[in-house]
Amino acid sequence: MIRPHFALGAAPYDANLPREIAPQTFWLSGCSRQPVGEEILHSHSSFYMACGTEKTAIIDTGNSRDWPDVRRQLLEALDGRKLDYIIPTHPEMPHMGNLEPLAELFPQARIVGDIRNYHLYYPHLEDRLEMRHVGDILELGDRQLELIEAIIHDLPNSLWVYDRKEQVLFACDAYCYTHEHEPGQCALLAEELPQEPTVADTSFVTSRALAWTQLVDPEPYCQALDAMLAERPVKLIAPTHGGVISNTKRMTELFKEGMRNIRGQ
Amino acid sequence: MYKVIEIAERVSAVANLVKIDGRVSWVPPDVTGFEPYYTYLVESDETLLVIDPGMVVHWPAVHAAIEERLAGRRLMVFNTRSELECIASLGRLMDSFDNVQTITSCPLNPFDLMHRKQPQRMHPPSAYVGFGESLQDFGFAHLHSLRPVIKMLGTSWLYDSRGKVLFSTDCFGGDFLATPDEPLVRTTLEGAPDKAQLRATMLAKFDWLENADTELLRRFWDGLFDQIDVEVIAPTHGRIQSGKLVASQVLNDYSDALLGPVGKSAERVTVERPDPIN
Repeated sequence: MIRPHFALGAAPYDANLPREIAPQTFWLSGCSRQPVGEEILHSHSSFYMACGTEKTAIIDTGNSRDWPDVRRQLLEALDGRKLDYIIPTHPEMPHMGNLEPLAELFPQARIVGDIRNYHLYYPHLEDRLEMRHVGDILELGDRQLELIEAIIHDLPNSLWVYDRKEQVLFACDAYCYTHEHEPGQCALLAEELPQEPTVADTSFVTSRALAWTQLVDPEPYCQALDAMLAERPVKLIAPTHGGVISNTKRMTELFKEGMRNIRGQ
Repeated sequence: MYKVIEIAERVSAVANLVKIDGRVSWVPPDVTGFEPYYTYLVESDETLLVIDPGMVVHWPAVHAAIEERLAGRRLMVFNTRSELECIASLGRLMDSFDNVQTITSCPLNPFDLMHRKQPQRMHPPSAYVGFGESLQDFGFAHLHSLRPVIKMLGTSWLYDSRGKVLFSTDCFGGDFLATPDEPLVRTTLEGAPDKAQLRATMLAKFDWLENADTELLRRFWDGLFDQIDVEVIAPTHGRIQSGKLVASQVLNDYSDALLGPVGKSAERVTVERPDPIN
């Protein structure tokens, strides 16, 4: 008997998004509902906007399924400005699934990052692709976005982004956690949720989204994360698959502990 | 110019070549030549099944091949991964045909992964097939979805038990063409890539293998390959490997390159893993 796919689709849109999490720094997101075992998980596909005095940029694009609300959130956050840069952290659908309609909506926007493969995915966008590497800086006027190594990633052509002015780390697939939340709670910081995410919450999502974590020694990754954080003060961590984190030190410890617990599960 | 080549009974590959120029992340930086890319077509009397419609750069060729072969039959699509190499053209496919049945073993619903410009084209809901299950309900009892031994994102391998074809998606694609007129299918081991190249190609995609527990992986590997006979290795990109001897030796070479003495072994732990077949 043919079984319909189990994914339950988009959660209701949250009117509290976009949310300004730091000056001119916006959190945009769509949530999905997916059954895992007996549970129905409600999981973010977040992306972010950083506006400088001269240029604007988004980090990731949101999921293609959420395009109508992504468009609404984006136009609201831009508040009449144009979008200059699209920075997909890596070429996976929750991170760059709206590249085509975004490129159409903002015909002057440049697509920057580790854009290997994109000319094959979308050859009609080839003249808008700009290759960037670890250490490169994107100038937005009064703020700079630094492209840094994606220490924990799936696809190898991934980059993280660090906002030097507001000290926000855009960490795409790291620092993910799932947390069953009610409609209206999608835009809450990790620390604002009724219950703080646990080691198990981070472990659960990481082991499934990044299946390789079940097969590796986590210590090299934890050490690299510590080294990166030692060089960069971080006030906010902005992951794709979890809410924004303001208690960055505590959540880093939870996340590392979650990584360490995966192999024992 | 694309080619359609028969690789097993009622299984063909729509092949396109891309010159290797350093702009593809899964090709090691020192490799030169040409990389073939495939969309596979599996046929029954009633249905044409597309395995991974592929990237937009190849969509005109894939579209033409489907049009040419469909001949009034039902069109179905199975995506082995929710990655752009496999599904970037999915929206275009759904905009080009009616009543397309999408099927996957991946956790993401194909309808959540595409933009469509022709919503008047009507399609049934996506179907899910679990690991170890066959595509019998779709008229392909000889096709089985397998839990992959090595993967990055949500992935399934497909196995055609009739033709003994392993559709290995992003694995085992480390054989490139030096010139565009070289064969797309390897039928002899002469000139086959060495183990260092096989390892480099796999690590270009699966960089975590560098830190992997190879003893654990070995158990998964043996658990799968002890149960299936492979005579054709059909990856998404890289040369197809054909013939019992060739396929067997190539798999052994990959095993040595990834799990043998070259690999590192971390602390051994016990992880329960479901049987890949049942």
